[in-house]
Amino acid sequence: MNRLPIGIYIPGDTFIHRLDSRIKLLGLFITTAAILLVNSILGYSIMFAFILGIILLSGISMKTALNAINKLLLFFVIVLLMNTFFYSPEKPWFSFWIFTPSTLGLLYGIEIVLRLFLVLIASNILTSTTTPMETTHALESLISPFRYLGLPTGQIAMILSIAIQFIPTLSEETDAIRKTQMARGARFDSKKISEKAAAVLPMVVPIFLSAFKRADDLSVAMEARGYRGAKGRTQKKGTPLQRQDLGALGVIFFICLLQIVLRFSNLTHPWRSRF
Amino acid sequence: MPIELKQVSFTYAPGTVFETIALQEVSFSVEDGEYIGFMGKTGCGKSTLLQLMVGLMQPTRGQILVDGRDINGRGYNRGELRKKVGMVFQYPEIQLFETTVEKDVAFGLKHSGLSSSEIADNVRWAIETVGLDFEKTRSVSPFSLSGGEKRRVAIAGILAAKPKILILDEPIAGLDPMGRDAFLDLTRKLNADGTTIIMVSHNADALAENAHRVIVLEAGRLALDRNVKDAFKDVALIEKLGVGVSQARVIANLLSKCGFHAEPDIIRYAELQPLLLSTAKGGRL
Repeated sequence: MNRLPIGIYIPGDTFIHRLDSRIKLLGLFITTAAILLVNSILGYSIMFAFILGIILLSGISMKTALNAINKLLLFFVIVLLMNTFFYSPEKPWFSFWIFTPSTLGLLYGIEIVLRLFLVLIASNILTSTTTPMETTHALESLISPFRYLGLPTGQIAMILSIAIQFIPTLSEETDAIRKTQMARGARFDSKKISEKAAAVLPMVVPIFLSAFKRADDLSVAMEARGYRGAKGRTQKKGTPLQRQDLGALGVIFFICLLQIVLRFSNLTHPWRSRF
Repeated sequence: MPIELKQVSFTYAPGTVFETIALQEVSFSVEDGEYIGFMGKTGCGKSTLLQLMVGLMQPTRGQILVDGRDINGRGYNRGELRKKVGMVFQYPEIQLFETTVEKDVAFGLKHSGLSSSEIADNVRWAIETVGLDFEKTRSVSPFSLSGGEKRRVAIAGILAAKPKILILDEPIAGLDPMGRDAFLDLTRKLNADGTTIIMVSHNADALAENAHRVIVLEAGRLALDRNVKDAFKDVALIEKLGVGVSQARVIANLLSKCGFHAEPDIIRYAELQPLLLSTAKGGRL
Protein backbone atom coordinates (compact mmCIF):
# COMPACT_ATOMS: atom_id res chain seq x y z
CA MET A 1 0.00 0.00 0.00
CA ASN A 2 2.32 2.69 -1.17
CA ARG A 3 -0.38 4.91 -2.64
CA LEU A 4 -3.41 5.92 -0.67
CA PRO A 5 -6.64 4.61 -2.13
CA ILE A 6 -9.20 7.30 -2.93
CA GLY A 7 -11.60 8.08 -0.13
CA ILE A 8 -9.88 6.03 2.55
CA TYR A 9 -10.72 7.06 6.12
CA ILE A 10 -8.16 9.49 7.51
CA PRO A 11 -8.29 9.57 11.31
CA GLY A 12 -8.77 12.97 12.89
CA ASP A 13 -10.62 14.84 15.58
CA THR A 14 -12.14 17.83 13.81
CA PHE A 15 -15.67 19.19 13.83
CA ILE A 16 -16.43 17.24 10.65
CA HIS A 17 -14.97 14.01 12.05
CA ARG A 18 -17.07 14.30 15.21
CA LEU A 19 -20.28 15.07 13.36
CA ASP A 20 -22.91 12.32 13.59
CA SER A 21 -22.53 10.00 10.61
CA ARG A 22 -26.29 10.05 9.93
CA ILE A 23 -26.13 13.82 9.55
CA LYS A 24 -23.09 13.55 7.29
CA LEU A 25 -24.74 11.03 5.00
CA LEU A 26 -28.05 12.92 4.91
CA GLY A 27 -26.03 16.10 4.40
CA LEU A 28 -24.31 14.54 1.40
CA PHE A 29 -27.68 13.68 -0.18
CA ILE A 30 -29.03 17.19 0.40
CA THR A 31 -25.80 18.78 -0.83
CA THR A 32 -25.96 16.63 -3.96
CA ALA A 33 -29.55 17.75 -4.54
CA ALA A 34 -28.46 21.36 -4.08
CA ILE A 35 -25.58 20.90 -6.53
CA LEU A 36 -27.94 19.48 -9.14
CA LEU A 37 -30.24 22.48 -8.73
CA VAL A 38 -27.57 25.07 -9.36
CA ASN A 39 -27.72 26.88 -12.65
CA SER A 40 -26.10 30.23 -12.06
CA ILE A 41 -22.60 31.54 -11.47
CA LEU A 42 -23.68 32.84 -8.07
CA GLY A 43 -25.07 29.41 -7.20
CA TYR A 44 -21.83 27.69 -8.16
CA SER A 45 -19.82 30.22 -6.16
CA ILE A 46 -21.89 29.46 -3.09
CA MET A 47 -21.44 25.70 -3.52
CA PHE A 48 -17.70 26.06 -4.09
CA ALA A 49 -17.36 28.23 -0.98
CA PHE A 50 -19.43 25.74 1.01
CA ILE A 51 -17.35 22.72 -0.05
CA LEU A 52 -14.12 24.65 0.49
CA GLY A 53 -15.33 25.54 3.99
CA ILE A 54 -15.99 21.87 4.78
CA ILE A 55 -12.55 20.85 3.48
CA LEU A 56 -10.90 23.47 5.70
CA LEU A 57 -13.00 22.40 8.71
CA SER A 58 -12.22 18.72 8.19
CA GLY A 59 -8.46 19.29 8.28
CA ILE A 60 -8.00 17.21 5.12
CA SER A 61 -5.26 18.46 2.85
CA MET A 62 -6.29 19.88 -0.52
CA LYS A 63 -4.23 17.17 -2.17
CA THR A 64 -6.23 14.42 -0.50
CA ALA A 65 -9.54 16.15 -1.16
CA LEU A 66 -8.73 16.52 -4.85
CA ASN A 67 -7.43 12.95 -4.99
CA ALA A 68 -10.78 11.77 -6.29
CA ILE A 69 -10.53 14.12 -9.26
CA ASN A 70 -7.07 13.25 -10.56
CA LYS A 71 -8.00 9.81 -11.83
CA LEU A 72 -11.14 11.12 -13.53
CA LEU A 73 -9.54 13.97 -15.46
CA LEU A 74 -9.77 12.05 -18.72
CA PHE A 75 -13.42 11.29 -18.04
CA PHE A 76 -14.10 14.98 -17.48
CA VAL A 77 -12.39 15.90 -20.72
CA ILE A 78 -14.47 13.34 -22.62
CA VAL A 79 -17.72 14.59 -21.05
CA LEU A 80 -16.78 18.12 -22.02
CA LEU A 81 -15.94 17.20 -25.60
CA MET A 82 -19.02 15.01 -26.09
CA ASN A 83 -21.30 17.79 -24.93
CA THR A 84 -19.55 20.44 -26.95
CA PHE A 85 -19.73 18.44 -30.17
CA PHE A 86 -23.07 16.69 -29.88
CA TYR A 87 -25.30 18.61 -27.47
CA SER A 88 -27.08 21.04 -29.70
CA PRO A 89 -27.60 21.29 -33.44
CA GLU A 90 -28.70 24.90 -32.96
CA LYS A 91 -26.32 27.76 -33.74
CA PRO A 92 -23.23 25.56 -34.28
CA TRP A 93 -19.81 27.09 -34.84
CA PHE A 94 -19.59 24.87 -37.87
CA SER A 95 -21.18 21.66 -39.00
CA PHE A 96 -19.19 18.63 -40.14
CA TRP A 97 -20.59 15.11 -40.59
CA ILE A 98 -22.29 14.42 -37.20
CA PHE A 99 -20.36 17.08 -35.30
CA THR A 100 -22.12 20.28 -34.36
CA PRO A 101 -19.97 22.07 -31.81
CA SER A 102 -21.73 24.99 -30.16
CA THR A 103 -21.36 27.45 -27.31
CA LEU A 104 -24.49 26.02 -25.75
CA GLY A 105 -22.96 22.53 -25.74
CA LEU A 106 -19.70 23.81 -24.28
CA LEU A 107 -21.53 25.60 -21.46
CA TYR A 108 -23.65 22.53 -20.78
CA GLY A 109 -20.51 20.38 -20.68
CA ILE A 110 -18.84 22.74 -18.25
CA GLU A 111 -21.90 22.61 -16.05
CA ILE A 112 -21.93 18.80 -15.92
CA VAL A 113 -18.23 18.68 -15.14
CA LEU A 114 -18.64 21.27 -12.37
CA ARG A 115 -21.48 19.33 -10.81
CA LEU A 116 -19.62 16.03 -10.94
CA PHE A 117 -16.56 17.72 -9.51
CA LEU A 118 -18.51 19.09 -6.54
CA VAL A 119 -20.41 15.85 -5.84
CA LEU A 120 -17.20 13.79 -6.02
CA ILE A 121 -15.36 16.06 -3.61
CA ALA A 122 -18.30 16.12 -1.23
CA SER A 123 -18.50 12.32 -1.13
CA ASN A 124 -14.73 12.09 -0.83
CA ILE A 125 -14.92 14.27 2.28
CA LEU A 126 -17.61 12.03 3.73
CA THR A 127 -15.59 8.83 3.34
CA SER A 128 -12.34 10.50 4.41
CA THR A 129 -13.83 11.67 7.71
CA THR A 130 -16.17 8.78 8.51
CA THR A 131 -15.18 5.20 9.25
CA PRO A 132 -16.86 2.63 6.99
CA MET A 133 -18.66 1.21 10.03
CA GLU A 134 -20.14 4.59 10.89
CA THR A 135 -21.28 5.04 7.31
CA THR A 136 -23.00 1.66 7.41
CA HIS A 137 -24.76 2.52 10.65
CA ALA A 138 -25.90 5.78 9.11
CA LEU A 139 -27.20 3.98 6.04
CA GLU A 140 -28.95 1.47 8.27
CA SER A 141 -30.74 4.16 10.20
CA LEU A 142 -31.64 6.10 7.06
CA ILE A 143 -33.24 3.07 5.37
CA SER A 144 -34.98 1.87 8.53
CA PRO A 145 -38.30 3.62 7.73
CA PHE A 146 -38.60 1.40 4.65
CA ARG A 147 -39.21 -1.63 6.85
CA TYR A 148 -42.84 -0.55 6.99
CA LEU A 149 -42.92 -1.17 3.24
CA GLY A 150 -41.76 -4.73 3.80
CA LEU A 151 -38.09 -4.13 3.04
CA PRO A 152 -35.84 -6.40 5.17
CA THR A 153 -33.80 -3.44 6.37
CA GLY A 154 -32.14 -5.35 9.20
CA GLN A 155 -30.79 -7.94 6.81
CA ILE A 156 -29.71 -5.34 4.28
CA ALA A 157 -27.82 -3.55 7.04
CA MET A 158 -26.20 -6.79 8.20
CA ILE A 159 -25.10 -7.66 4.65
CA LEU A 160 -23.73 -4.16 4.14
CA SER A 161 -21.78 -4.10 7.36
CA ILE A 162 -20.30 -7.56 6.79
CA ALA A 163 -19.36 -6.65 3.23
CA ILE A 164 -17.68 -3.46 4.34
CA GLN A 165 -15.86 -5.13 7.21
CA PHE A 166 -14.40 -7.70 4.86
CA ILE A 167 -12.97 -5.27 2.33
CA PRO A 168 -9.65 -4.77 4.16
CA THR A 169 -9.36 -8.48 4.97
CA LEU A 170 -9.93 -9.53 1.39
CA SER A 171 -7.65 -6.87 -0.03
CA GLU A 172 -4.88 -7.96 2.32
CA GLU A 173 -5.43 -11.54 1.28
CA THR A 174 -5.39 -10.61 -2.40
CA ASP A 175 -2.07 -8.92 -1.85
CA ALA A 176 -0.68 -11.96 -0.04
CA ILE A 177 -1.83 -14.31 -2.80
CA ARG A 178 -0.40 -12.07 -5.51
CA LYS A 179 2.94 -12.08 -3.73
CA THR A 180 3.07 -15.84 -3.18
CA GLN A 181 2.26 -16.49 -6.82
CA MET A 182 4.84 -13.95 -7.98
CA ALA A 183 7.46 -15.47 -5.70
CA ARG A 184 7.00 -18.82 -7.41
CA GLY A 185 7.26 -17.43 -10.89
CA ALA A 186 3.82 -16.11 -11.90
CA ARG A 187 4.07 -13.09 -14.17
CA PHE A 188 1.63 -10.30 -13.39
CA ASP A 189 3.90 -7.59 -14.67
CA SER A 190 4.00 -9.03 -18.18
CA LYS A 191 2.88 -6.75 -20.99
CA LYS A 192 1.63 -9.57 -23.21
CA ILE A 193 -2.16 -9.81 -23.13
CA SER A 194 -2.14 -13.61 -23.29
CA GLU A 195 0.16 -13.85 -20.26
CA LYS A 196 -1.92 -11.28 -18.40
CA ALA A 197 -5.06 -13.33 -19.00
CA ALA A 198 -3.33 -16.55 -17.93
CA ALA A 199 -2.28 -14.85 -14.72
CA VAL A 200 -5.89 -14.32 -13.63
CA LEU A 201 -6.66 -17.92 -12.71
CA PRO A 202 -3.96 -18.36 -10.02
CA MET A 203 -5.37 -15.22 -8.39
CA VAL A 204 -9.09 -15.77 -8.73
CA VAL A 205 -9.27 -19.39 -7.54
CA PRO A 206 -7.49 -18.82 -4.20
CA ILE A 207 -9.36 -15.56 -3.55
CA PHE A 208 -12.75 -17.18 -4.10
CA LEU A 209 -11.79 -20.17 -2.00
CA SER A 210 -10.70 -18.03 0.88
CA ALA A 211 -13.77 -15.78 0.59
CA PHE A 212 -16.10 -18.79 0.71
CA LYS A 213 -14.18 -20.28 3.60
CA ARG A 214 -14.38 -17.02 5.50
CA ALA A 215 -18.09 -16.70 4.78
CA ASP A 216 -18.60 -20.23 6.04
CA ASP A 217 -16.58 -19.63 9.21
CA LEU A 218 -18.41 -16.37 9.83
CA SER A 219 -21.85 -17.94 9.47
CA VAL A 220 -20.92 -20.67 11.93
CA ALA A 221 -19.54 -18.08 14.35
CA MET A 222 -22.70 -15.97 14.03
CA GLU A 223 -24.98 -18.94 14.63
CA ALA A 224 -22.86 -20.03 17.57
CA ARG A 225 -23.52 -16.64 19.11
CA GLY A 226 -27.25 -16.98 18.61
CA TYR A 227 -27.93 -15.14 15.37
CA ARG A 228 -31.35 -16.18 14.08
CA GLY A 229 -31.90 -13.75 11.24
CA ALA A 230 -31.97 -10.00 11.47
CA LYS A 231 -35.65 -9.72 12.34
CA GLY A 232 -36.37 -8.32 15.76
CA ARG A 233 -32.76 -7.53 16.50
CA THR A 234 -32.30 -4.60 18.79
CA GLN A 235 -29.52 -2.09 18.43
CA LYS A 236 -26.90 -0.99 20.81
CA LYS A 237 -28.19 2.42 21.72
CA GLY A 238 -26.39 5.00 19.65
CA THR A 239 -25.58 8.50 20.69
CA PRO A 240 -28.48 10.93 20.28
CA LEU A 241 -28.02 13.85 17.91
CA GLN A 242 -26.07 16.70 19.47
CA ARG A 243 -26.76 20.39 19.07
CA GLN A 244 -23.90 20.82 16.57
CA ASP A 245 -25.30 17.96 14.46
CA LEU A 246 -28.64 19.70 14.16
CA GLY A 247 -26.85 22.98 13.51
CA ALA A 248 -24.87 21.44 10.67
CA LEU A 249 -28.01 19.93 9.20
CA GLY A 250 -29.65 23.35 9.45
CA VAL A 251 -26.79 24.96 7.53
CA ILE A 252 -27.01 22.35 4.78
CA PHE A 253 -30.79 22.76 4.53
CA PHE A 254 -30.32 26.52 4.34
CA ILE A 255 -27.85 26.15 1.45
CA CYS A 256 -30.22 23.84 -0.37
CA LEU A 257 -33.11 26.25 0.18
CA LEU A 258 -30.96 29.09 -1.09
CA GLN A 259 -30.27 27.16 -4.29
CA ILE A 260 -33.97 26.46 -4.76
CA VAL A 261 -34.75 30.16 -4.37
CA LEU A 262 -31.91 31.10 -6.74
CA ARG A 263 -33.08 28.67 -9.35
CA PHE A 264 -36.74 29.51 -9.39
CA SER A 265 -36.52 33.26 -9.01
CA ASN A 266 -35.26 35.84 -11.40
CA LEU A 267 -33.26 37.52 -8.65
CA THR A 268 -30.02 36.35 -10.15
CA HIS A 269 -30.88 37.17 -13.69
CA PRO A 270 -27.76 39.21 -14.53
CA TRP A 271 -25.49 36.33 -13.57
CA ARG A 272 -27.42 33.52 -15.14
CA SER A 273 -25.07 31.42 -17.19
CA ARG A 274 -27.81 29.73 -19.19
CA PHE A 275 -29.62 31.50 -21.97
CA MET B 1 28.68 -12.86 -2.25
CA PRO B 2 25.13 -14.30 -2.67
CA ILE B 3 23.02 -11.80 -0.76
CA GLU B 4 24.16 -8.47 0.57
CA LEU B 5 21.98 -5.78 2.12
CA LYS B 6 23.43 -2.30 2.31
CA GLN B 7 21.75 0.23 4.59
CA VAL B 8 18.28 -0.91 3.59
CA SER B 9 15.39 1.24 4.80
CA PHE B 10 11.72 0.89 4.03
CA THR B 11 8.77 3.14 4.73
CA TYR B 12 5.14 2.21 4.06
CA ALA B 13 2.90 4.86 2.45
CA PRO B 14 5.51 7.64 2.59
CA GLY B 15 4.21 11.19 2.68
CA THR B 16 0.75 10.26 3.96
CA VAL B 17 -0.82 10.10 7.41
CA PHE B 18 -0.32 6.34 7.31
CA GLU B 19 3.45 6.64 6.95
CA THR B 20 5.11 3.83 8.90
CA ILE B 21 8.82 3.20 9.09
CA ALA B 22 9.30 -0.55 8.82
CA LEU B 23 13.06 -0.86 8.40
CA GLN B 24 15.96 1.44 9.16
CA GLU B 25 19.43 1.00 7.72
CA VAL B 26 19.62 -2.75 7.92
CA SER B 27 22.89 -4.20 6.62
CA PHE B 28 24.07 -7.79 6.60
CA SER B 29 25.21 -10.41 4.16
CA VAL B 30 24.49 -14.07 3.64
CA GLU B 31 27.10 -16.52 2.37
CA ASP B 32 26.43 -19.53 0.16
CA GLY B 33 25.27 -22.59 2.06
CA GLU B 34 24.39 -20.82 5.29
CA TYR B 35 21.34 -21.62 7.40
CA ILE B 36 20.17 -18.41 8.98
CA GLY B 37 17.53 -18.03 11.66
CA PHE B 38 15.58 -14.79 11.69
CA MET B 39 13.86 -13.68 14.87
CA GLY B 40 12.06 -10.66 16.23
CA LYS B 41 8.82 -9.62 17.82
CA THR B 42 5.68 -9.37 15.70
CA GLY B 43 5.81 -6.16 13.70
CA CYS B 44 9.58 -5.74 13.86
CA GLY B 45 9.91 -5.77 10.07
CA LYS B 46 10.90 -9.39 9.38
CA SER B 47 8.28 -10.05 6.73
CA THR B 48 8.96 -6.70 5.08
CA LEU B 49 12.65 -7.52 4.93
CA LEU B 50 12.04 -10.93 3.37
CA GLN B 51 9.77 -9.42 0.72
CA LEU B 52 12.45 -6.87 -0.11
CA MET B 53 14.99 -9.66 -0.48
CA VAL B 54 12.91 -11.43 -3.12
CA GLY B 55 12.17 -8.19 -4.95
CA LEU B 56 8.44 -8.07 -4.25
CA MET B 57 8.88 -4.56 -2.87
CA GLN B 58 11.60 -2.01 -3.36
CA PRO B 59 13.55 -0.45 -0.50
CA THR B 60 12.96 3.25 0.14
CA ARG B 61 16.73 3.66 0.53
CA GLY B 62 19.68 1.31 0.32
CA GLN B 63 20.65 -1.55 -1.94
CA ILE B 64 20.07 -5.28 -2.05
CA LEU B 65 22.67 -7.22 -4.02
CA VAL B 66 22.18 -10.82 -5.11
CA ASP B 67 25.33 -12.35 -6.57
CA GLY B 68 26.83 -8.89 -6.66
CA ARG B 69 24.06 -7.25 -8.68
CA ASP B 70 21.52 -4.73 -7.42
CA ILE B 71 18.12 -6.44 -7.77
CA ASN B 72 16.39 -3.07 -8.09
CA GLY B 73 18.93 -1.74 -10.56
CA ARG B 74 18.05 -0.88 -14.14
CA GLY B 75 17.94 -3.81 -16.50
CA TYR B 76 18.05 -6.45 -13.76
CA ASN B 77 16.14 -9.53 -14.82
CA ARG B 78 13.53 -10.32 -12.17
CA GLY B 79 12.91 -13.70 -13.77
CA GLU B 80 16.51 -14.67 -12.95
CA LEU B 81 16.01 -13.55 -9.36
CA ARG B 82 12.87 -15.67 -9.01
CA LYS B 83 14.83 -18.69 -10.23
CA LYS B 84 17.67 -18.09 -7.77
CA VAL B 85 15.64 -17.16 -4.71
CA GLY B 86 12.57 -19.12 -3.64
CA MET B 87 10.24 -17.78 -1.00
CA VAL B 88 7.80 -19.73 1.15
CA PHE B 89 5.30 -17.35 2.73
CA GLN B 90 3.35 -17.84 5.93
CA TYR B 91 0.53 -20.28 5.24
CA PRO B 92 1.75 -21.00 1.70
CA GLU B 93 -1.23 -23.29 1.10
CA ILE B 94 -3.26 -20.26 -0.02
CA GLN B 95 -1.38 -20.37 -3.31
CA LEU B 96 -2.95 -23.68 -4.45
CA PHE B 97 -5.35 -23.33 -7.37
CA GLU B 98 -4.77 -26.06 -9.95
CA THR B 99 -6.85 -29.17 -10.51
CA THR B 100 -4.09 -31.64 -9.66
CA VAL B 101 -1.11 -31.64 -7.36
CA GLU B 102 1.26 -32.22 -10.27
CA LYS B 103 -0.05 -29.23 -12.25
CA ASP B 104 0.04 -26.98 -9.22
CA VAL B 105 3.65 -27.84 -8.41
CA ALA B 106 4.62 -27.29 -12.05
CA PHE B 107 2.94 -23.87 -12.21
CA GLY B 108 5.99 -21.87 -11.21
CA LEU B 109 8.14 -23.55 -13.87
CA LYS B 110 6.02 -22.32 -16.78
CA HIS B 111 8.28 -19.37 -17.41
CA SER B 112 11.50 -21.05 -16.36
CA GLY B 113 12.60 -22.03 -19.86
CA LEU B 114 13.05 -25.67 -18.87
CA SER B 115 12.03 -28.44 -21.27
CA SER B 116 8.91 -30.41 -20.41
CA SER B 117 10.91 -33.50 -19.41
CA GLU B 118 13.07 -31.38 -17.09
CA ILE B 119 9.93 -29.88 -15.61
CA ALA B 120 8.48 -33.35 -15.03
CA ASP B 121 11.71 -34.43 -13.33
CA ASN B 122 11.78 -31.37 -11.10
CA VAL B 123 8.13 -31.79 -10.14
CA ARG B 124 8.59 -35.44 -9.22
CA TRP B 125 11.73 -34.59 -7.24
CA ALA B 126 9.98 -31.74 -5.39
CA ILE B 127 6.90 -33.78 -4.47
CA GLU B 128 9.06 -36.64 -3.23
CA THR B 129 11.40 -34.29 -1.38
CA VAL B 130 8.55 -32.87 0.72
CA GLY B 131 7.72 -36.44 1.68
CA LEU B 132 4.66 -37.19 -0.44
CA ASP B 133 4.15 -40.28 -2.60
CA PHE B 134 4.41 -38.98 -6.18
CA GLU B 135 2.36 -41.72 -7.85
CA LYS B 136 -0.41 -41.52 -5.27
CA THR B 137 -0.75 -37.76 -5.10
CA ARG B 138 0.13 -36.52 -8.60
CA SER B 139 -3.40 -36.58 -10.02
CA VAL B 140 -5.25 -35.78 -6.81
CA SER B 141 -6.86 -32.36 -6.34
CA PRO B 142 -4.73 -30.37 -3.90
CA PHE B 143 -7.94 -29.30 -2.14
CA SER B 144 -8.77 -32.84 -1.12
CA LEU B 145 -5.57 -33.11 0.95
CA SER B 146 -5.19 -32.48 4.67
CA GLY B 147 -3.84 -29.15 5.94
CA GLY B 148 -0.33 -30.48 6.48
CA GLU B 149 -0.25 -32.13 3.06
CA LYS B 150 -1.51 -28.94 1.40
CA ARG B 151 1.39 -27.08 2.92
CA ARG B 152 3.82 -29.69 1.62
CA VAL B 153 2.40 -29.40 -1.88
CA ALA B 154 2.69 -25.62 -1.68
CA ILE B 155 6.31 -25.88 -0.59
CA ALA B 156 6.99 -28.41 -3.36
CA GLY B 157 5.69 -25.74 -5.76
CA ILE B 158 8.53 -23.50 -4.66
CA LEU B 159 11.21 -26.21 -4.43
CA ALA B 160 10.42 -27.35 -7.97
CA ALA B 161 12.32 -24.37 -9.34
CA LYS B 162 15.37 -25.64 -7.39
CA PRO B 163 16.20 -22.25 -5.92
CA LYS B 164 19.75 -21.72 -4.71
CA ILE B 165 18.47 -19.65 -1.82
CA LEU B 166 15.31 -20.58 0.04
CA ILE B 167 13.57 -17.98 2.21
CA LEU B 168 10.94 -19.26 4.63
CA ASP B 169 8.52 -17.07 6.59
CA GLU B 170 7.23 -18.95 9.66
CA PRO B 171 6.99 -22.24 7.78
CA ILE B 172 6.25 -24.37 10.85
CA ALA B 173 3.45 -22.24 12.32
CA GLY B 174 0.34 -24.35 12.76
CA LEU B 175 1.96 -27.71 11.97
CA ASP B 176 1.65 -30.65 14.34
CA PRO B 177 4.86 -31.82 16.11
CA MET B 178 5.46 -34.62 13.58
CA GLY B 179 4.94 -32.32 10.62
CA ARG B 180 7.21 -29.75 12.22
CA ASP B 181 10.07 -32.19 12.73
CA ALA B 182 9.66 -33.59 9.22
CA PHE B 183 9.77 -30.08 7.83
CA LEU B 184 12.86 -29.10 9.80
CA ASP B 185 14.58 -32.29 8.64
CA LEU B 186 13.73 -31.29 5.09
CA THR B 187 15.31 -27.84 5.50
CA ARG B 188 18.43 -29.44 6.98
CA LYS B 189 18.65 -31.88 4.10
CA LEU B 190 18.26 -29.12 1.51
CA ASN B 191 20.91 -27.11 3.32
CA ALA B 192 23.28 -30.08 3.31
CA ASP B 193 22.78 -30.31 -0.45
CA GLY B 194 23.95 -26.71 -0.79
CA THR B 195 20.77 -24.63 -0.58
CA THR B 196 21.11 -21.45 1.46
CA ILE B 197 18.27 -21.32 3.99
CA ILE B 198 16.92 -18.20 5.61
CA MET B 199 14.12 -19.04 8.02
CA VAL B 200 11.96 -16.76 10.12
CA SER B 201 10.62 -18.46 13.21
CA HIS B 202 9.44 -17.70 16.72
CA ASN B 203 10.46 -21.21 17.64
CA ALA B 204 13.87 -20.81 19.31
CA ASP B 205 14.30 -24.59 19.58
CA ALA B 206 13.92 -25.04 15.85
CA LEU B 207 16.54 -22.37 15.19
CA ALA B 208 18.95 -23.60 17.88
CA GLU B 209 18.84 -27.11 16.44
CA ASN B 210 19.21 -26.10 12.81
CA ALA B 211 20.54 -22.61 12.13
CA HIS B 212 24.20 -21.63 11.88
CA ARG B 213 23.58 -17.98 12.49
CA VAL B 214 20.86 -15.94 14.15
CA ILE B 215 19.76 -12.45 13.15
CA VAL B 216 17.36 -10.53 15.37
CA LEU B 217 15.44 -7.43 14.30
CA GLU B 218 13.99 -4.99 16.77
CA ALA B 219 11.67 -2.15 15.70
CA GLY B 220 13.05 -2.18 12.17
CA ARG B 221 16.71 -2.19 13.15
CA LEU B 222 19.26 -4.96 13.16
CA ALA B 223 19.69 -5.78 16.85
CA LEU B 224 21.85 -8.90 16.74
CA ASP B 225 23.76 -10.89 14.13
CA ARG B 226 25.88 -13.70 15.59
CA ASN B 227 26.51 -17.37 15.13
CA VAL B 228 23.90 -19.44 16.85
CA LYS B 229 25.98 -20.40 19.92
CA ASP B 230 27.01 -16.85 20.70
CA ALA B 231 23.49 -15.58 20.10
CA PHE B 232 21.73 -17.94 22.51
CA LYS B 233 24.55 -17.73 25.06
CA ASP B 234 23.48 -14.19 25.86
CA VAL B 235 20.14 -15.02 27.50
CA ALA B 236 19.66 -11.54 28.95
CA LEU B 237 20.11 -9.84 25.59
CA ILE B 238 17.89 -12.29 23.71
CA GLU B 239 15.12 -11.84 26.23
CA LYS B 240 15.49 -8.07 26.13
CA LEU B 241 14.89 -8.25 22.39
CA GLY B 242 11.57 -9.96 23.04
CA VAL B 243 12.48 -13.37 21.62
CA GLY B 244 13.21 -16.54 23.58
CA VAL B 245 16.17 -18.87 23.89
CA SER B 246 15.91 -22.62 23.34
CA GLN B 247 14.51 -24.89 26.05
CA ALA B 248 17.89 -26.65 26.36
CA ARG B 249 19.52 -23.30 27.12
CA VAL B 250 16.84 -22.48 29.71
CA ILE B 251 17.35 -25.81 31.48
CA ALA B 252 21.14 -25.50 31.38
CA ASN B 253 20.78 -22.05 32.87
CA LEU B 254 18.59 -23.33 35.68
CA LEU B 255 21.07 -26.13 36.42
CA SER B 256 23.95 -23.72 36.67
CA LYS B 257 21.88 -21.46 38.92
CA CYS B 258 21.33 -24.48 41.20
CA GLY B 259 25.08 -24.90 41.47
CA PHE B 260 25.65 -27.56 38.82
CA HIS B 261 28.36 -27.10 36.26
CA ALA B 262 26.68 -26.38 32.92
CA GLU B 263 28.62 -24.94 30.01
CA PRO B 264 27.13 -21.64 28.78
CA ASP B 265 27.18 -22.84 25.18
CA ILE B 266 24.60 -25.60 25.65
CA ILE B 267 21.76 -24.69 23.30
CA ARG B 268 20.65 -28.01 21.81
CA TYR B 269 18.91 -30.99 23.29
CA ALA B 270 21.74 -33.32 22.24
CA GLU B 271 24.21 -31.19 24.19
CA LEU B 272 22.02 -31.03 27.25
CA GLN B 273 21.23 -34.74 27.42
CA PRO B 274 24.65 -35.99 28.65
CA LEU B 275 24.70 -33.29 31.31
CA LEU B 276 21.23 -34.28 32.52
CA LEU B 277 22.15 -37.96 32.57
CA SER B 278 25.41 -37.47 34.40
CA THR B 279 23.77 -35.17 36.93
CA ALA B 280 21.01 -37.71 37.53
CA LYS B 281 23.49 -40.60 37.81
CA GLY B 282 25.50 -38.63 40.31
CA GLY B 283 22.41 -39.01 42.47
CA ARG B 284 22.18 -35.33 43.06
CA LEU B 285 18.82 -34.77 41.36
